[in-house]
Amino acid sequence: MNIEPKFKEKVSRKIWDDYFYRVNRVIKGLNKKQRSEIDLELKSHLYESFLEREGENEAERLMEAMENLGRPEEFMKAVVSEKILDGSGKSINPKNLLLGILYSPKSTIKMSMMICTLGLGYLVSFTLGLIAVVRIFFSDQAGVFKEPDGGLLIGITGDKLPYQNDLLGIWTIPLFLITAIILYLAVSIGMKKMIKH
Amino acid sequence: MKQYLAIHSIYDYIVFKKIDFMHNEKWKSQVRKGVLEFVILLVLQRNEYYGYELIKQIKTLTSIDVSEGTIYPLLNRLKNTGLIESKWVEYETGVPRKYYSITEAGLEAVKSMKVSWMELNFSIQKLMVE
Repeated sequence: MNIEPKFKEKVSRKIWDDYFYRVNRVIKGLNKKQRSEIDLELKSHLYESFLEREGENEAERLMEAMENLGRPEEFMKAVVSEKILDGSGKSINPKNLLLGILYSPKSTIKMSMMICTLGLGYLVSFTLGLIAVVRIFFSDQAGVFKEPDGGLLIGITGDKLPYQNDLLGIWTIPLFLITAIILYLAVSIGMKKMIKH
Repeated sequence: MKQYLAIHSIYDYIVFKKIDFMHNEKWKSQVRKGVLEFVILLVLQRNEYYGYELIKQIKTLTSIDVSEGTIYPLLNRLKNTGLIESKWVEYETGVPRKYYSITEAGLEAVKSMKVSWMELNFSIQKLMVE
């Protein structure tokens, strides 16, 4: 299925193509099937609206129909955002979440805050996971240690610390791994809910 | 002095009227957006329609001046929640159309939305009279 109307004036074809170039630019984050469905539905809408308009000037009638439909950069954002998130199904894919935020019809400040929260959450989660992995190979260099001067060290260190200073012991790996997974899920699910809201 | 006061009053009148008008328009737009999903379901309860036809129906049946593009995110959301479904119908002559129809879940949702609407309407009417 496709709609490629035959216009009498060259300028009308140019206006039509330009509008759908903008539509396709907005929906480029979606898969091919979703893109062609949106493209076809908007073409169908616009062509019906154009045909119903009266007047001599073809280009003017087309532009009027486009004006009534609106700017694709504005009204398509919510559709794209929801389709991206639905595309990920029940899974929480960081790439889809990021695209979902970028396409969501939210203010720039809110969008920036969401991206920062997502980035920070993933960074902390990744770091916790990394500490657990490093701990497997270097048990005296990763974890939670009491430093000789009384301070607390959480993370990975170049110095080998005595096992007496190791505060979590064998619990380090499961605790860090579980915290990393919980944090990852909490950030992802929370963000998905925020985008859909 | 009198002249100054007169100009000042006119200025106040224009400014406050403008603010009043802007606030009213914003409020109307928010109300419209809020009820549009309910309106779509009510219209689809009567018959199945394609996007452009649905907008025309809403404009004819209600006083809501809906911006055409805003209908698509709402249709998408209603479809995702299972309240409506869609199908493409291809015509030999003319353009293919995507028809939307209400589902069983949609009919159930409309029933409960109607009750909520009546309750809300009743409370507001009561407040307005008091």
